[in-house]
Amino acid sequence: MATLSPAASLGLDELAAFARAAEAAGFDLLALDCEPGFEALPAAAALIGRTTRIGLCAAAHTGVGEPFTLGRGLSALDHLSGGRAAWRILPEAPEGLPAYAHRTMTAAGQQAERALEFVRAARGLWNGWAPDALLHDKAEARFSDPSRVRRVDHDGPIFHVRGPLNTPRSPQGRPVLVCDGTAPDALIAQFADLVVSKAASAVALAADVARIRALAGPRAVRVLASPEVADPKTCDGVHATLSAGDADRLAEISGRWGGAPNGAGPLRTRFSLLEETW
Amino acid sequence: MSTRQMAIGLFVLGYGHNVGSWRANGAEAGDLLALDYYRRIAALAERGKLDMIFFAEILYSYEQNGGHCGQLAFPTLDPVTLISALSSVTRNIGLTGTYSTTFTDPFQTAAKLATADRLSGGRIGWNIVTTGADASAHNFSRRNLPEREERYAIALDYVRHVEELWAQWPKSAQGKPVRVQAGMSPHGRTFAAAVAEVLFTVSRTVDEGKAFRDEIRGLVAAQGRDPDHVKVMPGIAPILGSTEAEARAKEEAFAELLHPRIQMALLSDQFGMDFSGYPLDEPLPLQDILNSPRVLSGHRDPSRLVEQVQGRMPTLREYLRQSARVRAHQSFVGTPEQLADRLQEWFEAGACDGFNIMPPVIPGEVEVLVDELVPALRRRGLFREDYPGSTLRETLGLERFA
Repeated sequence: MATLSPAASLGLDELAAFARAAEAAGFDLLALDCEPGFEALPAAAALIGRTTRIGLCAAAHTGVGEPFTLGRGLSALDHLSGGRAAWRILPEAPEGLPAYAHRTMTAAGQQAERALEFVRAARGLWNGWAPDALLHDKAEARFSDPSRVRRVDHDGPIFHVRGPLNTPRSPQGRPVLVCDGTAPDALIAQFADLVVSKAASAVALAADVARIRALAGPRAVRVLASPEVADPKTCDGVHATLSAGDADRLAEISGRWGGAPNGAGPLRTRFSLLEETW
Repeated sequence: MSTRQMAIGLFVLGYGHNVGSWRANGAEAGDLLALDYYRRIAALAERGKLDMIFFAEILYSYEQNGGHCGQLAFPTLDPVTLISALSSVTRNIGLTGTYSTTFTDPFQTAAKLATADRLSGGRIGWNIVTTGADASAHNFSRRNLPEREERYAIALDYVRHVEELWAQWPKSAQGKPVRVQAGMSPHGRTFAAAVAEVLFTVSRTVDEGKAFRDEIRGLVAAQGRDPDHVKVMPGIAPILGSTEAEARAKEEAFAELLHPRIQMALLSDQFGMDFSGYPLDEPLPLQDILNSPRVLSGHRDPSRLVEQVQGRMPTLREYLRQSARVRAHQSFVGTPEQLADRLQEWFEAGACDGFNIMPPVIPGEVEVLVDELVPALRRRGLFREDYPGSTLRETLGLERFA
């Protein structure tokens, strides 16, 4: 995975050039962060038409906004990209968020709980339509099978979400969920598919991987580390943060890792991640 | 020859504005979820040099009998994600998406729209809605919807907050996104006068249109804004044929798309009661309708229905067929030349600055618009040959902020 940062001041052509370079170099995911005045999700969406295979990972906060808004945004990203969507979960509010009268802020101490509830509700939304719910039966005027569509009916301390989304199940069922290694334990334990370890040495990485795998228990979790410490014997992949000017490092990083070139089709299938059953 | 040019928007909703359009030939399952479907429509619209494509949003799923309604097909992808995806596969056409001020956070909305606007080269519009559908509240951690007055008060604060943020962040090629608005209630008009640059309106006659536009221009001027920088664009739902007879035949064919089950589902949703238990060939159950939840709560006014059935009570089947043809927006059945005449009449009477076209079936009916209507308007000197610049503000002739 490669995170392109900074990105806010780049034009579409520059973003696209980097994305295509990452794709050509065999990277599985191109990730974008949020910066002041720059939201990753629309930028990831703009890259759909300029790429063909690479996963598109958008960072997004759980500290403001509603699960329904982000849930449908990521569902749209997955639909429009044919199953290439990923979400890097930022379990806090944006830095320097200005006050707004009609917003009820969640206290810093409650952000971890908010993140857990947020992701749980979003998962329920993505799993609302069974894979075979869409009938499109023109003769009998049955667009969808009501018995194969479920509301989420999430009723928690912070969020109340009835659901379902009004769109069918997306190609992956749900986007690939990415967390930092510094994310709350419960988030890693219950929801993460990919974890980006911040370990700065081989020894620290080994310990971090052990910790993360223990948290995840029986769930398959892929741990990524920086190019300086990543090792196929210790972890599952590389995560590099690069600026647009460093695009030439992409092939070098990918080459050193020696991983297989990126495939095609929905990310969850490519990464052998579990599909959620309806 | 008039130098004032008409603005033409294309309102894309699902497979088309006919509620049964998903049953049309050529409508394939999964179309609405694929970028290619929207890319094809955008390419057509861009070929016709239309000002913009517009996407609404629906923030809830239709229910029936306490469960999901299988007859109605209104899958809507998140508009900002969709217009962002389209921006990299289009060149000049404007892209307008809807975001609710009642249910979203202004910081995120401001950042999403600013990002989309910069990456598209300044072609983004924001349709600002306060969300009138009660059912949406339950998807956004609210038990009920604030009343209209409060919703508009919030909307004003919201838009001000968004504008403050946009002023601090990097600008797009058009400065900042275009503000579109569609509410016509008294609160809506006051809000529009302060905020809107484009108004999507509902007017059925020239006089109605002119009265509204004159009022809005007056309200806008009273706010210290230039009325020429506000474009009023009523909706119109045209059915076109190369002859009148062909157009009427199409109208019949489109009416056939409205399977009774679909009409029943709509009616059930409108009144909050389940019509599927009533026999189709028995008289319309008027008493039950008047006692339906949405009528009793004041959300649905039955007086038009009562008027319609005055004299002779139709059967449920007959009523469903009648309802299929009733539209809020102006409708039209005829040839492209005749439609151009109608649009010209409205435009030159000062009843509007352009139109938001709502094709019954998409993309089929979009080709006719681009290949027949646009040339007819050009022959009358009413529509551009090419885009004047690269941004939506330039295309619409709005205030510049770059």
